[in-house]
Amino acid sequence: MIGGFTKRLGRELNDLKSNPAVGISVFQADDFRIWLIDIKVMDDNPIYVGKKFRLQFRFAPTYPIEAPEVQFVASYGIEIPMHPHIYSNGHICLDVLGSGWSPVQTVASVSMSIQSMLAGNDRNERPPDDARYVAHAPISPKNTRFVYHDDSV
Amino acid sequence: MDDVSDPSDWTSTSLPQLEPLDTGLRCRICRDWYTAPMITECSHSFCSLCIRKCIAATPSAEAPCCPICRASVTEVRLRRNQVLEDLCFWFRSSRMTMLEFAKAQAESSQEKKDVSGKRRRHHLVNKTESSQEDGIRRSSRMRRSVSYQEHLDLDHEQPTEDNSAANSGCFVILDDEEATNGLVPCPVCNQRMTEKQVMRHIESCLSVKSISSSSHQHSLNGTTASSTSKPPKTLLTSSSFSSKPFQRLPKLQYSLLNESKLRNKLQDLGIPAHGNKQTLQNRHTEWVSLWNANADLTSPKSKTQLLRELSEWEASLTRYALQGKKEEDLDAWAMTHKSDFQDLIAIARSSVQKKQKAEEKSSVIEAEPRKLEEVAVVEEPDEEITSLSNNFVSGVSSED
Repeated sequence: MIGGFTKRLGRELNDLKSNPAVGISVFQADDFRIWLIDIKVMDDNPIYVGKKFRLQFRFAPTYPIEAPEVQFVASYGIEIPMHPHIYSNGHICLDVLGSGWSPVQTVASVSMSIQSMLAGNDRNERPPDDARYVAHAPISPKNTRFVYHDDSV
Repeated sequence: MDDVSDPSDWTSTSLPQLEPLDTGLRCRICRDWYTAPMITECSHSFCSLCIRKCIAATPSAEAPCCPICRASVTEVRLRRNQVLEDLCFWFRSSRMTMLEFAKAQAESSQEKKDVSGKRRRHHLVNKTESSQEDGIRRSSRMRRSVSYQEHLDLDHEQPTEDNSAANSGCFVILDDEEATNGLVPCPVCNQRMTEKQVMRHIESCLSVKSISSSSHQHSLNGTTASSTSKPPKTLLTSSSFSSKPFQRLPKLQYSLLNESKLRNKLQDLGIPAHGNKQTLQNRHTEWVSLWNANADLTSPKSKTQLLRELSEWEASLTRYALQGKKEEDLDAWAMTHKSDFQDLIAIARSSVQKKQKAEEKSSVIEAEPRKLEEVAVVEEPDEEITSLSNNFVSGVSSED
């Protein structure tokens, strides 16, 4: 039954804490609205080596039928990773967060997708339309209609 | 309802290999035990409500697809997965007992480990002995099964045994030991009876158990409740299926209906009909999913119960919408309208100044004794504005 999306999130949190994936840890999950997940890129990619990044997940009662709102957040000593698909305001252009979402995906699986997206990147740059996008970006990245034009990165 | 069991319960027990089974009997969408599982054309199963909601949430421009493999799915082609539902029921009804047993065993082996090294060595010796024994036993078993099969291959004049041998050698051996009279144990009380009797027996057995041991009742909560209120799924005959009062509801083409027609539809269904078209549409979609999923249940809930679920769903959405507004959106709104606030403050200040000047002028014209009152009048709006502007400034600075 879907009624309690909190129940599913509770199980996910349990999973995340009991058998965490390498480089993914829960920084804060006090309620079932916003979670902060810290991720590290495990291979020796020179762009991200030794750095930690923080992902923010926002859940609506429609979760997991609809995707959570996921973006990077900056904090003291934590920056937004450089990537041609990550805007400087933390918004991520990744299909699993939008049209590619499926209800069987989890916070852990999304974190791992993003982790591997970073690991496979060799361009230390922002998206070409970064300045334009950030100036007019909606508050929620879910309100952006991303065009997934570049699968090479 | 408060079933907080989790597949990870098995990890620290002596039966960690049951974890995948436990996971496999849960819906991949809600991560809970399958409720009225439905199988898709691509052979994946989900709770009826989960997959229906999933299909309903697909934008109309896209074809609904399986959440696991993305093969296209059609709601009308969903079929009940009765076997899965039964498996789920049987597993749940014995889960607590198995879990307690496995936990106790893990604890006792832990205790054994904690005793002195001498005894540990003994234990190890015992273990190797037993494993050797086990190996011997196993090999003898294999030998027996092989010989049995050879035996069967040799003489075909035993048609009754030929049938059972078709299964597997191992099965034959088990039968060897346990007398092939077709009796099976009740999963709750272990009493032996025929398969048909078990079906009838289990319900009464579970309800008796739930009364006799309160601790057990607690642990089996979900199962006992369901077994007392509704019979085990396997008891259902096809006739009780067709006599179901719940007919599936059709989906509506919302674009073909205007608001008042849609409102009428909702009223006909007996569900709340307030709100704008989008609200009506969402509510109708949710209701159709709830209703049709309920029709898939072996013993459907009452309409009152469904209406309660609908209102809970709506309440959770409103609560969420309000929560969202209260925090980030309001802050962001304050940020984007920062300049507007400052304009308003400036306008308010200038209008106060104008007022002051106008009143000063009028005070000159008017007689002396009114002056005291004027001072009071002038001060009041001034205070208001300063406090207002303070608010805005603090709001903005906290945002920074």
